[in-house]
Amino acid sequence: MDTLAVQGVPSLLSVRNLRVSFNMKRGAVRAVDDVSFEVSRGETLGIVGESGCGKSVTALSIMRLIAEPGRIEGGQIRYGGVNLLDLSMREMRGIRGNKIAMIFQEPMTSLNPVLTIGSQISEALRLHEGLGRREALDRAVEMLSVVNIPMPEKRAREYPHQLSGGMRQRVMIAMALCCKPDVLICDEPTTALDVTIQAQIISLIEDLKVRTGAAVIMITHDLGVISEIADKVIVMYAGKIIEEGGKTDVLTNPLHPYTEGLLNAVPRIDRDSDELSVIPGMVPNLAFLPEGCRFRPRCRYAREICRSAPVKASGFGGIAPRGVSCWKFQPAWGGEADV
Amino acid sequence: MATEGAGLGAAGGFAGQEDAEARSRGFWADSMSRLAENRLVLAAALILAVLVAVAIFAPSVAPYDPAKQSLAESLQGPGARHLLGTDEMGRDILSRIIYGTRISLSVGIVSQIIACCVGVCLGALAGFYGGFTDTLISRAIEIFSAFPELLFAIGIMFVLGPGVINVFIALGLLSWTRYARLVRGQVMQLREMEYAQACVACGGSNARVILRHLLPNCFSTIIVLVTLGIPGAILMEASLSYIGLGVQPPTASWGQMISAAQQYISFYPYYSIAPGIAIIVTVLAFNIFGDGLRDALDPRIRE
Repeated sequence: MDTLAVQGVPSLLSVRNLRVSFNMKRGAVRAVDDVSFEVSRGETLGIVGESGCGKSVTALSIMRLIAEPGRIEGGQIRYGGVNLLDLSMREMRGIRGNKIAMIFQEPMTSLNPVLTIGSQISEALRLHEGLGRREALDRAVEMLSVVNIPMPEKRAREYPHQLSGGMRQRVMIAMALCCKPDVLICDEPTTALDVTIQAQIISLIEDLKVRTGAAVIMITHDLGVISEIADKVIVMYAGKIIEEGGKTDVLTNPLHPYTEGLLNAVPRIDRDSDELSVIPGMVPNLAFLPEGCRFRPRCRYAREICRSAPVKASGFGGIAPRGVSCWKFQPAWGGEADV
Repeated sequence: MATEGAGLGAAGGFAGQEDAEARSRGFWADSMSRLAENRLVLAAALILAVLVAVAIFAPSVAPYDPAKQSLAESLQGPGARHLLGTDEMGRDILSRIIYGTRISLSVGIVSQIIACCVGVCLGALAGFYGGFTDTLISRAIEIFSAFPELLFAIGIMFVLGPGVINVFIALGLLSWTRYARLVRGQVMQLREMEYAQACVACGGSNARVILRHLLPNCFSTIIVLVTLGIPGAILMEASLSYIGLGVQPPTASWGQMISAAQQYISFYPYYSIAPGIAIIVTVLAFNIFGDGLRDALDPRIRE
């Protein structure tokens, strides 16, 4: 809600016109196309979308972890006055885990089975803060109690297989937060966990964000998670941002037909219905995108004008800057007939 | 959050003391206790321990100087004075076998360590970096393993000349491909694991990912490969010494003893039987121990 206050103040991390492509045998596929957003200190940005819409690739690009055959083609990722894309690999290593940290989706495989929990948490501390083994281990134990793991001294000496999924995700959070990063990127942190643990992890992340003042980028396909934790939301489809705005605005008053469809597809416990609402069709193959609006083939409002690329419309009031890429919100829409 | 913590605490409290101990035991303690359950493997380990002790304390264990000749006593059968008899120079066969343990064990172990170092480094590079590095190393592996083993060893010994150190090098060059092949495959698979990515995301360098996260995960397979590689190297040393390209006389080596015994085999078989048995027992013990180790370390048969 302090988004308004920080407008005008340079944001902590800003991504501008990011384009990432993957070189496939049949030519380059653009997984992220002209994506721009920013986050400020203490703010949580939610990125939502179906699998393959480019949300994880966006996250990995911020850390510059895109591996071959992927390549960041253009754009800027500005953090602390510098473009991260201009840094050398060595400088980038000083940022990763120290200033910008990441939590991965799969807690079962994100921890090394042959190293103790304590030594894995201390790794980042020893790398970035130059602590000795003993000091780093003490700090690791401290971090374990910060993420509410009972008996932290004992747990620090244990191996990952001795911990439950929820505990492991807590360890991952401890690892990510031990160097007090400014930005925490969470790539579907709760997808692999069961529902009760999900809620605990989400409130833990929220709690730690408030305590450390970090900015959080929460990547998920779960709108429930977004409604819990996000301040503002970006909806991605086939590599593009199609709608953005404050959480409440986007969730209660979706503008883009895709967002509308997504929200309708959430089963509601208070509505008695035998059928789940779905969006017809499938996410387009990024190598064969439809011309014009990428959502057109699945959109029930599609008209002839949608065959040309939609222009972003902004305004609409609301707390955070609101934008939508859909012809429905352009003056040209009125005169067109349905396809 | 408090609920999960409390629930886990309670579960921990209900579990028996014994169970809690088993849970907090490390990977190695767990594997070693499983290894100890197999009697045959335990016997093999015992034989290996004895062999190592014999090799180390050879001067005090051996009844005679292995090089001391006494032509008057040549080619004597087993008896009270010479437990396993004497060879054509009147040297005590038992003492020569005891000293030969040093050669066989050191050839086996050192050559495998050399092979392991070369193979693990190249395999890890190939598996981690892929692309051109991988192509280069993979082709090298294929070329090296295309030669028949003995012929290849003979070739290297010809170039290097005979001698114990050269046997180490030749046998090391002969078997690095097995390590490289295995580690390459494992690293290739492991680098996709999220913890490898997580290390990079924490600011770790490639070297750190390989050395701290990937190779420790290959360790159990490497150790099994070393144990199973040693008997092969011992046999190969025996073969090389047998054809006169390995360890040179008067140093005692089992292969070389069999070679010398060959011309007396029809009327004096003891001479060749004794070192033959030594080779068989050692190789068998290593093989059984290696198999047992593999079973004990295999994560798929862990409960």
